[in-house]
Amino acid sequence: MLAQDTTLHSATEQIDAVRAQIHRVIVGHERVVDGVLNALLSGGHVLLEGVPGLGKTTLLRTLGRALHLDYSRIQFTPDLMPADILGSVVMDTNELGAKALRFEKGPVFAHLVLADEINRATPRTQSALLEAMQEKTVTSGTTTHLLDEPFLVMATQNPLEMEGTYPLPEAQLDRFLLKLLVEYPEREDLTAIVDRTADTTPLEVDAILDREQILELRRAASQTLVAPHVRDYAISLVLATQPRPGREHALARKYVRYGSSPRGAQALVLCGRVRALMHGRLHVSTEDVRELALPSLRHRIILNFDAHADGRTEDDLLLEMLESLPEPTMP
Amino acid sequence: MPASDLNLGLVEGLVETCRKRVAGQLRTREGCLALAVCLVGFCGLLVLGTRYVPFVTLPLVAGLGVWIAARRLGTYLPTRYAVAQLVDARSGLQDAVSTAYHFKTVGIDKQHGRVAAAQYESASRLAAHVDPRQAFPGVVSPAQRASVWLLASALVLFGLRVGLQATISFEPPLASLILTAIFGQRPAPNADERQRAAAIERPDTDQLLPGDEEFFERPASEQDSPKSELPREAHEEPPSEAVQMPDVEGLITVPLEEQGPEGLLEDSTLQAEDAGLSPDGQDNNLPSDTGSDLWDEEAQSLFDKLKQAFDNMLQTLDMASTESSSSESGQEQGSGSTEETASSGNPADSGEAEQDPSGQAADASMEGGEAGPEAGESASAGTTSGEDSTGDQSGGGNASAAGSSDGDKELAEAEQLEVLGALEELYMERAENMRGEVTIETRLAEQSASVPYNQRSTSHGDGSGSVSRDEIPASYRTYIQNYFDTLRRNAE
Repeated sequence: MLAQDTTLHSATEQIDAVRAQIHRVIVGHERVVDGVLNALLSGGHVLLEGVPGLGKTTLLRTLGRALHLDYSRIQFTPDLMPADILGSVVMDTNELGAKALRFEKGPVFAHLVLADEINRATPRTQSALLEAMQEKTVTSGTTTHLLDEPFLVMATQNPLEMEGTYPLPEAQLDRFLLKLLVEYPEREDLTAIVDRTADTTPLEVDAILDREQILELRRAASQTLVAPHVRDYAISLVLATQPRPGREHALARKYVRYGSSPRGAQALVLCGRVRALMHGRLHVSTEDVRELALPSLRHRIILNFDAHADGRTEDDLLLEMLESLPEPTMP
Repeated sequence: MPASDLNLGLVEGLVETCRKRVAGQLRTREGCLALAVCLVGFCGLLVLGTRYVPFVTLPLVAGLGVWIAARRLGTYLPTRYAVAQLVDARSGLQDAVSTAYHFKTVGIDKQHGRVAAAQYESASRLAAHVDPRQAFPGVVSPAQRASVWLLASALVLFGLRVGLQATISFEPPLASLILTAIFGQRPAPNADERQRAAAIERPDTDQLLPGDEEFFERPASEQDSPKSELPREAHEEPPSEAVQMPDVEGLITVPLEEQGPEGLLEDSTLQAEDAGLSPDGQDNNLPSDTGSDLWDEEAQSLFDKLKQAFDNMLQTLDMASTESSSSESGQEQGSGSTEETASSGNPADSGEAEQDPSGQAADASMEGGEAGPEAGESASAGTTSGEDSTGDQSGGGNASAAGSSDGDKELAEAEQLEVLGALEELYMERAENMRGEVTIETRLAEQSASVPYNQRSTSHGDGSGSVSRDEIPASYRTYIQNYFDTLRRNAE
């Protein structure tokens, strides 16, 4: 019991320390930072969407520095090929002059992979990365190479300049555990950003966690308790997004073309566990589910024409569904 | 914390305490609901009395209320796990107590057991600061408010009833008690009596005579006085040859030239019955307790006057028949005067003829030849008994123009029927010999023949009949005709 308390306490402290290191560079964006950490400890991947210049790439680079993990960055362009990401077989000559085929690993063989502007690559290249994300393996010829854990792909995409891009299909969007929206900073945050930019001293980020510690945090998070009513609450939320005849939510019937897949419920519970750990709890609460509903489900819902015509977004619908979901109340 | 909960853990003790509190609140709420239902039944009994709501209804309603409350209590009483969730939600514990309670009660594997134990410890620390009274404060439910209001209403009604009766009796309705207390001992009329009284007070507009509408538009005080009950005509001096008939609607002045004695009697009877009076002049519709001796005497005197009027009328009719048989010119004058009278004489009668023709026709058919002027009136109304009355008139020799005009009508009708018959024959003949072209417009769609197609084999000889058809060029017809003639000859 005491050991568990100590583990919980140390886990919370470690996460807080990583968060503090990131915020030495990144001003604001608490939700985004927490979301990225959550995805890392949940074993999923994260998709960041925001206009250019909001610090998406900086955030991921800072995370890599704070975590003692291998970090690679891929700038997606239309002429990027799968081999540029996964690696390729090359002819290698040793000292004796003998030649042999050798697999040269691509940038995907890293713990933290930043796929910048992922929607600018062709679907073939996107699929190559997404296969690595889902299976955490890379197949070259007849050889399958395992990706090292922890493996986190942080993809960014720009909602502007959609011309000449290849938007990710829904099936590939579903592979991302969370989709985080990077918003404009508030006035105070913007002031701090400007001040830090004027300072020429480079910002130092200490490495807090190594690979083993991160894996230990993952194991601790997986043991977090989920009560049946919390699990049912997450399932009810996912079912509410599905326009199924007779059991759908009124909003889903009106505005949703395709609802969330079971991966949505998995994401809610997985990320709920990590969030509980980050907040010093050994159990998941309905509050965790509510807080994670938007990043976990917004990219798993496809709206119909009526929703676009009425100006409704995924976030609007999810918030309304959350309000209408029954809470435990006195009859 | 209760002593019985001391052996339980802190979390289970909190849940148990809160559940007892919730159950107590629910029992109070549902008990108030049952009480409210019972009070509704009791208030209904107090208002309507046992005359309309028998006593046995009260235990039935009470049983229904108890049954509803018991069902709701069984439905809404939450489980301990649900109470733990409520504690979390109301105390802001982020599901700590409910999770701890669940994993404590259902058990868990060894690996998660240590985590569950640690979580239970942290939940216990939180539960120690939870006050069940704050988590489940006592609230006044709508059922409680309703039961209080209903209880107050029942007490007021009970006090009112006892105060009005000076004794405890639930038999009469409260409304009748109040009316008795306000208007004295007169019992309140029931629904039928009210309807009849309303009919007397305000008959249908169709049945009103001229001047009656003005009467009914007067204030009720004027209508109630015996003199003002009479319409304007009744206040004037009656004409020398007129009969005044008693009627609650007013007096009907009938010229003697137009009414036979029986007809007058019948009409007056009908009108009296319509107005709610029996033939002897008594009012059927008035409540028995409202009929007074004064009214009987007045009706009796009016009836005597009516009899006297009939006698005078019979004498006058005898004199008139004697005069008509001695002189034809008298007939013409009589018929002219009758027609004139029937068309524009008494507005009251013409109004009656228009408003109630069936009743007049029935009178005419019953009276037959004895009521010559009455028959003339029925003929002018254009009823079905016109032929009979015409024959009787001619036999009786009464002065009337109806006979001659009816004969003319028959002749005219016969001529019309003859012409119509000729036309019908003509139409039928044309219909049989109809020739010409028929163009049928149909839609451009697939259509199926209603008559199935049959393969018919004909001989060449039969085909010669089609030689004159349009599709055969005229220059070929001669050759084709010759061809078929040859075939026919060979066949013969």
